[in-house]
Amino acid sequence: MPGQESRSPETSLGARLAAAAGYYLPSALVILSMFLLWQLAVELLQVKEYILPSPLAAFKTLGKANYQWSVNFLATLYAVLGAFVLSAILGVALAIIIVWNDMLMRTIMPILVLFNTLPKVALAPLFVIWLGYGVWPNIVIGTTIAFFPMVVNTAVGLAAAEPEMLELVRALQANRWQIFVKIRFPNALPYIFTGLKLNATMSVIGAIVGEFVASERGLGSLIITGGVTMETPMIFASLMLISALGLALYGVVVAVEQLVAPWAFREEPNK
Amino acid sequence: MRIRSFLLGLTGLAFAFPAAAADKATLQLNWFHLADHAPIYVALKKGYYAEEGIDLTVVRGAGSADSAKKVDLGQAEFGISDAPTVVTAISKGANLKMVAVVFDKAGNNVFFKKSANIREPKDLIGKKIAVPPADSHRVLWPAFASVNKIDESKVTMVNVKPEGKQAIVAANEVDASFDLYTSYAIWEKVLGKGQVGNLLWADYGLPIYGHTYFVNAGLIAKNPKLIERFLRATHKGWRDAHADPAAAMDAMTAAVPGLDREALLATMPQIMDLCITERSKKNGIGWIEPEIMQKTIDITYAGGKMDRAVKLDEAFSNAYSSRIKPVR
Repeated sequence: MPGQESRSPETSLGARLAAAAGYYLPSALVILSMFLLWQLAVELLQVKEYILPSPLAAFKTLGKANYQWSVNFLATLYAVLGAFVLSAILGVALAIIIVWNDMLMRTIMPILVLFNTLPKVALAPLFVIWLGYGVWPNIVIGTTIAFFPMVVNTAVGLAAAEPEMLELVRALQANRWQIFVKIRFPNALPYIFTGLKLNATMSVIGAIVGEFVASERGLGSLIITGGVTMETPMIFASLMLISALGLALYGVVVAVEQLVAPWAFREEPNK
Repeated sequence: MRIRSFLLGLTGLAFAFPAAAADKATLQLNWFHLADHAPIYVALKKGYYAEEGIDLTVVRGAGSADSAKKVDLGQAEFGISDAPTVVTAISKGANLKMVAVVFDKAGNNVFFKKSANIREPKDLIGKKIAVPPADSHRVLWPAFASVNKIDESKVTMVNVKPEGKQAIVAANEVDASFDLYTSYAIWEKVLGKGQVGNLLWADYGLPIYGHTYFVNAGLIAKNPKLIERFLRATHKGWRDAHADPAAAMDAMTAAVPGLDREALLATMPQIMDLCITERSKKNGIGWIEPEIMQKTIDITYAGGKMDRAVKLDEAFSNAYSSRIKPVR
């Protein structure tokens, strides 16, 4: 009985969009009602705006020109994208090196774990001393936070190729390179995408950590300033933009995954 | 048996004198422990708060805005914050009132390497300046710039963590940093003896108030005497710390672990310069001069971060002033 449960290729784009909309409807409703509850709570309990602004008050500040939203948003966006790309490249490359050779694994892995246990928030001020401040140092700080899950996930994926399969191709005289390209790498793809999803959210955190330490512009810079001048609605507006940025990057990873490794996407709900 | 009756007797005593129970109060500091907090610890050590019937808890701070918020929310009776921050909070609906100044002269100041060739405020044009976000320099800067005819857009502000401001200047990443005059010794430690240059804003057309003691206005209705008693004990501490800074520092370093006694003690002369002035000798330590407070409010309002103008009698009161004067 082939093809009974698989998606028929003729499914129209409209139908697929509708299906996607239906898929995300519950979470959209929950988020919307959370905003509603927040708005009502602030109004009914008459909370002072500088303590906790209503979501509407926060949205309204997005229209205020004096905060230079586009300049600040772009500064953070560059740092986030930079950290994301660098973490992805560095993470996959390190994972390949680790899996390639057992000695390297035993040498490098403990160092990586050691490095990952260091609190990056405490390290960030040192980065400022060594590298100065701006987009590049923020990319570096973001990378130190985001690359670790990339390495671990990719390495697990590369190492988890089925032993029977490996033995079979070895029996057929496949060289290491062929084994890597045809067996190990495709097998690791779902793991790499899991790493990329973690990377997407952690790059955002990393960029903001960098901006908290030293910055001229950026959403993290706005939050720091707003904390001192008690412009709490602006802080919440910045937080909303940061969440939207993280969500969008995550969405892009999911979309690419669907294109490149659709089989991995279907396994995802078990993760 | 004997012990038991003794204990019973003690319990009886405790019930017999309920009036002797001290008022519990919390003081929310503006920042982690610095030399200007030493007078509070002298007062604690010498029992000045106990004499006034106050059981005082001192809580380290996380910036002026944070302590303003905590006192507004009733998590502490007393707080220390920058006057500009307190009036900004009041304009946003916080129920606060200032009752004394910590410094009669604000310590707002710019530090740089002597080699940076900065001799007057105008020399800051075209420079990069690290501004620790957790103090009021950012709010006051537009006023300082306009008084000194500096085009604000020609000076670049760099957000930096307060702990990192000396390092970022030392590393030549920026030319200067706005920081309180009271941290002079820390700057000398990082940049080297004789290498620190500075301009005190109060010397260049900006006579304003910096740190103040403030209360939740609810306390004025509930227990106004407590405010008076608190200030009396605190200012006795300042009087003693002025007379003997080393002893004051010993009191604080004994009570708070992990402080660098020598570095903190080295900033005491600057701290006393700002606190003990002709005005405080005349009116008592902590006295608030209405004209200077008005100027502080005006400058802060011009900075554009206040939601409305705050009236003078809303902002402060001298009614609880201790009138305690320095020994010399």
